[in-house]
Amino acid sequence: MHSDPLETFREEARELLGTLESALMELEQDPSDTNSIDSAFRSLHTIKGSGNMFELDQLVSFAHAVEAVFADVRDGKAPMSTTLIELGLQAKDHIAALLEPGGAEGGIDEELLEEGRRIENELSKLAAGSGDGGRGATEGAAGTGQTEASGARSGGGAESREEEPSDEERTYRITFTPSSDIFRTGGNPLLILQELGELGNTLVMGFSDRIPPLEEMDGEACYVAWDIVLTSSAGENAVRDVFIFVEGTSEVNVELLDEGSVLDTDISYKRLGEILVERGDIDPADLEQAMASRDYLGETLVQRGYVTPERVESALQEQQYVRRIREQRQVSETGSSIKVGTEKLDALVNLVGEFVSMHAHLSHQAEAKGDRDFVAVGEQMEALVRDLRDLSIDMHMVPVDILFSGFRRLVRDLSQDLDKDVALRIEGAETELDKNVIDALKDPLLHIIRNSVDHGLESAQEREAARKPAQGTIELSAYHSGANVVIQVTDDGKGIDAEKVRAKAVERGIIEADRELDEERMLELIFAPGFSTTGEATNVSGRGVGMDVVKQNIEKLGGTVRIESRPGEGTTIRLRIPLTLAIVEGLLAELAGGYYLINIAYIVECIDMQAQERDGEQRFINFRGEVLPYFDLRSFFGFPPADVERSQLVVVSNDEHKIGLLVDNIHDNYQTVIKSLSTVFERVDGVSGAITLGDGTPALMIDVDRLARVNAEEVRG
Amino acid sequence: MAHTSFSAQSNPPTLAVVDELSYADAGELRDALVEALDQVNEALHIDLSGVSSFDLAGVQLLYASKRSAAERGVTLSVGYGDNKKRFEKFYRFTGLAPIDIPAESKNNDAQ
Repeated sequence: MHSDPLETFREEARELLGTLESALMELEQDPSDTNSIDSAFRSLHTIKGSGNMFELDQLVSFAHAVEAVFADVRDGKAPMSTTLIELGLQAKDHIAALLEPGGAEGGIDEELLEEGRRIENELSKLAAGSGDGGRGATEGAAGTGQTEASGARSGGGAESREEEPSDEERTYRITFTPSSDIFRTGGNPLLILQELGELGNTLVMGFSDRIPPLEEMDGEACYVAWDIVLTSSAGENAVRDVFIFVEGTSEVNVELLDEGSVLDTDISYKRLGEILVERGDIDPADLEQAMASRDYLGETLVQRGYVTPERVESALQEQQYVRRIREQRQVSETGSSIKVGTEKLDALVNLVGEFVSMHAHLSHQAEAKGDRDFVAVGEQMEALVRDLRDLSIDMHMVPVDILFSGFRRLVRDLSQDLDKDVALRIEGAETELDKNVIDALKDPLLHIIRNSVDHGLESAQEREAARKPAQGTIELSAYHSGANVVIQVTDDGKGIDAEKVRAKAVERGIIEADRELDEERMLELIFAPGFSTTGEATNVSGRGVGMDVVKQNIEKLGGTVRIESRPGEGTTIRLRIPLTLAIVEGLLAELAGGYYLINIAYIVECIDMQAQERDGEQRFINFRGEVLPYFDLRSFFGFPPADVERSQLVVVSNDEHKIGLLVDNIHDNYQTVIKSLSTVFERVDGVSGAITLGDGTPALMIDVDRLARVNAEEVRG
Repeated sequence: MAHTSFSAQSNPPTLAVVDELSYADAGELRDALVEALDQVNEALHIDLSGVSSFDLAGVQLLYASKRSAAERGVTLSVGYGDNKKRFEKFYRFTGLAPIDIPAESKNNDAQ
């Protein structure tokens, strides 16, 4: 964490702005989504509250103005609209600008202040336009005085609720069966639900199972009953007071489900059967019979007609609700997480990496000296070192969602700028990746997505002419594949014509006109330096950066980029990225007196190779019935041929190609930290990084992926 | 004031409810729904797109219609038209299982 509290606030506020943006994007899809309305409000409220502590008056006053509008929406006083979402996004950008040093503090940037005034002005016009008519729009209900309840939490004022001490909260189960005459006597059960909502958070479960068929029904009678789970700081008497006018005629039961510190209570909650019996939904004897069955209890109870599906569903909802309340309370009471700055995490991972290298050296020394005690200590340490390594890598992992969610806004803004209808679908957002890798992926992905929207997807008219849905789709997905994470950007646009790419590459002098290439290699030419030029770029995707820079950036991460495309159907760009940059486990190989590390994630097997096999003309061997091409690394790196009798062949695979790597000798497994290559090695083909062994000896990291590709290219001719 | 109109020619036969679906006209609406069910053999559609106001008593009639239709072996469907969002809000607020609105729209956990 930063030692400067103001900088810590800025970091937290940026995270909250990310949450605000995600909520606004959700609201664009579903304006009635109350969770997103709450989330937007909470983000603004927290930014305002924390900003107050640092006397950031401009920021606080602006956030307050925006928050007030969202509070109205949440309370049903104003409708959610596309204009408000647009203004919300502009407000988010403005707060981000105010957060920058000098933004809110100095108050010097008149242009920035003017932008704030403009947004506030637009928001106040919107608030004035909505009036107060939005709240709980009255829906006729002549004679009953009933209203259609707003889906948003109503009344009460969130500010006063938020200021109530949450540690006194209790959770009640309220069973409410209104009198069948309640409508005739002018009562309205929905007003009671609304009043309960004003006391705190509610889970409302309505039951329609007592409603008879039309023929037996009295249209003026009330048949619906409710179970309500309420979490509130209100006492039991205050809860009972809500029912004061229906007491005696309606059945009301208030029961305390949960109270006190969760430190002395269990997170788990009652079982389904227990809840149903407690609520009087089922007879204990029936429950006992159903328990004898090995099937799911809920299903059995419904199948045997002991209880209706909606009663089972509501009992399950109650179970989940109370568990969640307890979990949330435990998190807040035990303070289960702390924030640590990424620079400290980086330092930790580096130290762990050094420690891992030292341990590897120590084990080597122990074995070389044949000291059994020393070897035993080394082995015991190994388990600890491995756990420490895994933990430090795990601490550095974050879900790719933090990267992906930012692209929703990008796609939305681009589609507006380009007048295209584009949907962004996100899959696998929970996939975790090293925070540093995620940071480094932002620019390449931004460029790829811009290209997809700008060049990949057609206009609505072109799409309709091609008999495609008017709305284009970009799918952004992530998934694990071995020690890598694959990130894919797929569009359903016009695709890329490989022949045209080839022709352009010839025109730009990237390849000779008579060069034969298969389709995959033709498409890969778009990653060649000089293929994209700023001359023909548009405002959107043209930033003077071509796909060659994307490829370079991905390769710097130790990753690869591939492209597949079908004209008329769309394009997929697939990035394969190592899970972490920090620590790798590899096999240490010896070659011409030097050391090379081969990442263990690629290794399939190691086999002995005799000189007679090795020195033949052919660079293929029969590997378990398949023809396996191999590289003599001595020859590849320009060393003289080996004069030893036996060599080692390390069989490696990068998921696409399998090859063998011929080395002189193999040492042990070795865990290490990869250092950046010095400029001397940057141009060495087949090497992706440099390491220092525990005794200070330098070693190079073999770029297996690159060698597999070189080999595949040679095979293809 | 509620108005209903039944069209046997529609496919499926449709009962359109206009203006109010509420306590004030619950008796009349109930009779109109029974009558419509009497006139169909296989399916009945209730069109609520013309409803301007509704309440719990009115919505109870929809559940009762579902029950009667099931007993008669009639498939009953409910269409909301532009009123879908308003009815969704109502179902969410009352915690009742929405009729003919996919379950994923339901979210009665007011956090």
